[in-house]
Amino acid sequence: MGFLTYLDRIDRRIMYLLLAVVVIVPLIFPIIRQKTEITPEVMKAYEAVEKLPTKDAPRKDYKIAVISVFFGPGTMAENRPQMEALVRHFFRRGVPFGILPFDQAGTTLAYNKVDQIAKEMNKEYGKDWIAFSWQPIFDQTLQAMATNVPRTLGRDKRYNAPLTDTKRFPIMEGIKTAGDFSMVVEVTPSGTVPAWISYIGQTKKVPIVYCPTGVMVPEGYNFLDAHQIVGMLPGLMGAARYEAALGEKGFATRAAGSLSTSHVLIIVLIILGNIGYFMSLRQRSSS
Amino acid sequence: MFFVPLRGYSLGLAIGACVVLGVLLLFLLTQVPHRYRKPIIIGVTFLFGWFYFLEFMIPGDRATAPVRGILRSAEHKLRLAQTDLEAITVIKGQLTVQYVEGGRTVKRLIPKDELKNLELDKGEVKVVHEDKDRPRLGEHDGVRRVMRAREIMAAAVADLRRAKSEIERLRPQVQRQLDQESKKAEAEAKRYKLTKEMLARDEQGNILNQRTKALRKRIDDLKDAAQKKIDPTIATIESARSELGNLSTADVESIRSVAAAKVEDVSLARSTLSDNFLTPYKETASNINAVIGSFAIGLGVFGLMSLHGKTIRRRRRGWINSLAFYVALFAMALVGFLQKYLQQKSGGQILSDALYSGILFNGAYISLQATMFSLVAFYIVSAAYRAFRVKSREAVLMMGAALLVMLGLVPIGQWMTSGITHVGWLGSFRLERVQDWIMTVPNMAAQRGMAFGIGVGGLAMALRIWLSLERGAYFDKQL
Amino acid sequence: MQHANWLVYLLEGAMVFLVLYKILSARAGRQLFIRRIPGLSAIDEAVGRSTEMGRPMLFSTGLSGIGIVALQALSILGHIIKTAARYRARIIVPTAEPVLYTVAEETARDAYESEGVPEAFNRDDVRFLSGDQFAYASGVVGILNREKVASAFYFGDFFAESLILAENGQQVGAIQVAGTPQIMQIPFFIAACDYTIIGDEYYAASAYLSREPTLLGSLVGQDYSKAIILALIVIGVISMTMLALTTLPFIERVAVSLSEALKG
Repeated sequence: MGFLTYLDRIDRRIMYLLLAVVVIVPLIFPIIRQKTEITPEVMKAYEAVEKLPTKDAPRKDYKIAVISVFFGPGTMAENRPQMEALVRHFFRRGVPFGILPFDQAGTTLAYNKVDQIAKEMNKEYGKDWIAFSWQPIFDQTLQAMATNVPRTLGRDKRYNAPLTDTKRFPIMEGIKTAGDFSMVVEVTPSGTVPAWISYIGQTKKVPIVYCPTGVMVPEGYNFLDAHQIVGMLPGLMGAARYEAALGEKGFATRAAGSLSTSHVLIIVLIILGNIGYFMSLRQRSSS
Repeated sequence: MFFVPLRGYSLGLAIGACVVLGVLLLFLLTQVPHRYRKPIIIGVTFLFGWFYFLEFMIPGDRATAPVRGILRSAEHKLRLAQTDLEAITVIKGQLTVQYVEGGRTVKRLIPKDELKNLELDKGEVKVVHEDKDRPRLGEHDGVRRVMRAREIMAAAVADLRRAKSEIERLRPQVQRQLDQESKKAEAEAKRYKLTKEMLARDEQGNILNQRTKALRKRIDDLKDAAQKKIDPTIATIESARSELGNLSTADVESIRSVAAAKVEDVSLARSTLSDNFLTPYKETASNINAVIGSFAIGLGVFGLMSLHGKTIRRRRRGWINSLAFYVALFAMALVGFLQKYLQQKSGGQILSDALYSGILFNGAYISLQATMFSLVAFYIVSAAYRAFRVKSREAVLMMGAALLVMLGLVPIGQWMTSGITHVGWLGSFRLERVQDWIMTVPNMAAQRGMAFGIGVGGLAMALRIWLSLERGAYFDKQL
Repeated sequence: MQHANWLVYLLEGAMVFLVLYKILSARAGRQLFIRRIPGLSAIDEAVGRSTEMGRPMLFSTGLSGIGIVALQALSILGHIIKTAARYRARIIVPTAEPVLYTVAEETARDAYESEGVPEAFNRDDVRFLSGDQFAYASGVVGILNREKVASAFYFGDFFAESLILAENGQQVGAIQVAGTPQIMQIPFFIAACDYTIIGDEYYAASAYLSREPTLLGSLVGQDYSKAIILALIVIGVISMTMLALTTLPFIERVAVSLSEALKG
C-alpha cells in the first residue's frame, strides 16, 4: 500500500528525468517507425501549395509567396521544421517566395536554414527566394503592405539593398502590393494570424497557411472552419505530416517518435497519479 | 512649407531644431504633475486608436461610390446564383479501382472521396474508370434553380458591364486630377529648388507626394478592377451560363466553384476602390508608431540601468546578477557595433562571426531562449500529473478528452487503432479522427463562445475609456 | 482596403447604445446583480495570507503592451495595492513593456497615496524586466524564487511563459490567481493556479472589485450585446438551414445578405 500511496506524490525530479530520457532516446535511436498519417488540415495546406503559380508563370499571373517568421529560439524546435517543410515544397515546385521576419533572433534562424536548403537544392537568392529585412512593428507593417510592399519592407537581409532594385532581385519584379502575394505562410508561436486574416487575407483574398506551435493549434481550427485559412500545420506533428506528404523524412519525422513517447509518459504518470490518489483517499478514510 | 524636403544647412538646422524641441518636450513632460501623466498617456495612446477606427468606419470616396454600388449589386447577384447552384444535389461519380491484396488483384467500385482512404489502407491503387458527376435536378426544384441561376448570372454580367463603363468614365477624370496635382508638385519643386535625389517619381515621371500617390493608386486600382477582375469575371460567367444551358452535360460542381471564386474577385475589386481620405496616411501613422516604439525601448533600457545600478551601488543581495546585466548589455552592444567594423578588416569576418554569431548569439542567446522554452515541456508533465485527478464527473470527462486528443496526435496513438479501416463509418473510430472531431466540434464551440465574450468585453472597456466613463483603481475619477 | 459595411454600423451602434443605456440606468440608481467570481473573491484571501506570512506578493502583467488588456490589469493592480497598503504588505510588479512600466508605477504610487501611506511606495518594486518573452519569464521566476512570494497574481496577456510562471509559483508555495483574455493559456493556468478567471470574467473584474455603478451597468450592457450576437447566430443557422430546404426568395435574400455582410 505504501508504494501505491507514494504514487500520489512522485518527486517531480524523477518525472523530469524520465521525460528527458523518453525525449532524447528516440531522437538518437529512431525506434518508432510508424507511418505518419496525413490529416485533412495538412493535406489542404499541401494542395494549396500545389496550386500556386511558379516563377515561370506568365507575367500577369506572377506572384510570390511570403513566409512570415515570428518564431525565435524558444519555439525554433517546433516552428523551424514547419518552415523547412514548406520551403522544400516551394523550392521543389519552383514557387518564388520571400521570408518576412518579425522576430529579431528568428531573422537569422530562418535565413540560415533557408540558405542551407537553397544551396542543397541549387536555388538562387534574388531569383528563387529572398529574405526581407526584419520588421519591428507587426500590425503597422501588415497594413502598410496592403498598399506598397517594396517601400514598406525596404531592403533585403543579405545585401541590405533596396527591394526596388529588380535587376538584383528579379523575384520582386511586378510585386507592388500584398495583392501580389500568392500565399502567406504564418509560422508563429503567438496569436498573430488574425491580423494577417484581417489586413491581407480578407482584403486582398490571399490564401493563408497557419503554422502554429502545439499550444495555439485549438484556436487555428476556428479559422480553418471559417475558411479564413486554407490549411494548417499543427505543431511539430504538422511538420512531420507535411514531410510525409512530400515523401521525405526530416527532423520532424524523427522527433515524432519523441513526441509519441513523451505523450505516453504523461498518460502513464496521470494514471499512476490517480491510482495513488485513490489509494491515499482509501487509506485516509480507513484511518 | 513644413513638408518640403530639405538639404544642406537647412537640413542640419531642422534636425538641430527638432532635437532641441524634443529635449524640451521631454523636460516639460518630466515636470508634469503626476496626476496629469495618466490622462496624457491614455490620450496619446487612444488618439492613434481613433485614427484607425475612423479609417475603418468612414466609407470610401464619393467619386467611386457609383462603381462600388454597382459592384455590390453584381456581387449580390452572383451570390444568389451560387446559392441556387449549391442547393442542387450532385451525385458524385464512382470510381472503378484496382489494387493488389493478399497476392491477388482486386477490382471494386468506390465513391470518389474514399480513394485517399483506400490508398492509405491498401497502398498503391489504380483508377481504371471514372464516372462523371451527375446533378440530381429532380430534387430541391433543381431545374428551376438552374434556370434562375442563369437569369441572375445574366443580370450580374449586365451589372459588371455597367461597372466597367462607369470605371472608363471615371478614369479620365482621375487622370486629369493627377495631371493637375503633378503640375502643382512640379511648380513647388522648382520653387524650393528640390533635386532629383530628394524627389520620388513614378514611371510616368510624376512627382510622388501624398496627394499624387493617392491619385496614382486610384488610377491603378480602377485599371486593375476593370482589366484583372471585371473582364475575366464577365468572360467566365458567360461561359458558365452557356454551359448551364445544356443541363444534361453541365458540370454543376465545377460551375459552383467558379461562381464562388468570381464572387471573391468582384468583392476584392470593390474593396480596392474603398479607400477614403484617411487611407493614404496609414503608412505615415505606421512610421510614427515605429519611431515612438523605438523611444520606448530606450526608456526601458534606461529604467533597467537605473534599477541595476542602484543594486550594485548599494551591494544589495544578488548584486552579482545586476553586474551580469551590465556585462551582457555592453558586450552585446559593443560586439554588434564592432561586427560591422570587423567585417571590413582582413580576418575580421572570422573574428566577428566567432564573437557575435558563435559565442554571443548562437552560444548564449539562442541556447538560453531554447532552454527557457523547453522548461515548459517539463512543467507540463508536473502540472498535468498534479492537476488531472478524478475528483468529479467533469474531471473524468476532461481527462478522457485530453487522453484521446493526446493519443490521436502522435504516431503511437495512430498505431493503436491502425487495425480499423479508413473506409466507411468505422473509420470514424480511428483515434486521429476522434481527435479531429474533438478539436473541430466541441473545442471550437467553446472557444468561439469565449472569444465573443472577450471581444464584447474589450469593446465595452474601450468605449468606457474613450468616453472617459472608466472608473476604478486606475481611473480613480473620470478623466 | 476593408471598411465597415451596414452590418458593422448596425451592430456597433446597437452594442454601443446598449452599453451606454445600461451605464446611465445604473447611475440613475438601479441595482444590478453580479454573480460571485471565486477567483476575484480570493484576492483578499491572498493578500491576507501574504501579510500573515510576512512575504511579498507578485503581480505580473505578462507581455501586455499599453492597451485595453493592460489597463484592466492595472485596475486590478490598483485594487490589490489598496488592500495591501492597509496591511503594509509589499507587492512587486514586473512589467515587460517600458510604457506600461511608467503607467504601472503611477498606478502603484496613486494607490498608496489614496490609502494615506505614500511612504510605503517603493519605486524599485515596480520594474521593467525585458521586452523579450523568455527574458521576462526568467526575471519573474527569479523574483518568485528569491523573494519567496506568498501570493502571485497573473493578469494580462500571457503566452508560452504562462506555465513557466505558474509552475514556479506553485513550487514556491504561493497562492496564485490568474486571469487572461488569451484563451490558449487558460488551461495552463487552470492546471497550475489556485484560481483562474476565464474569458470575459477578466473584463468584469474591475466591476466586480469596485462595484461602481458605471462598471456594473457596462457589464450588463455587455451581456445584452452578447445576446444580440447570439440572436445573429441563431438567425444565420435557421436561414442557412431553411435555404437548403426551401426556395423562398425572402429566405434566400436574408441568408445571402447576411453572409455578404459578415464576409465584409
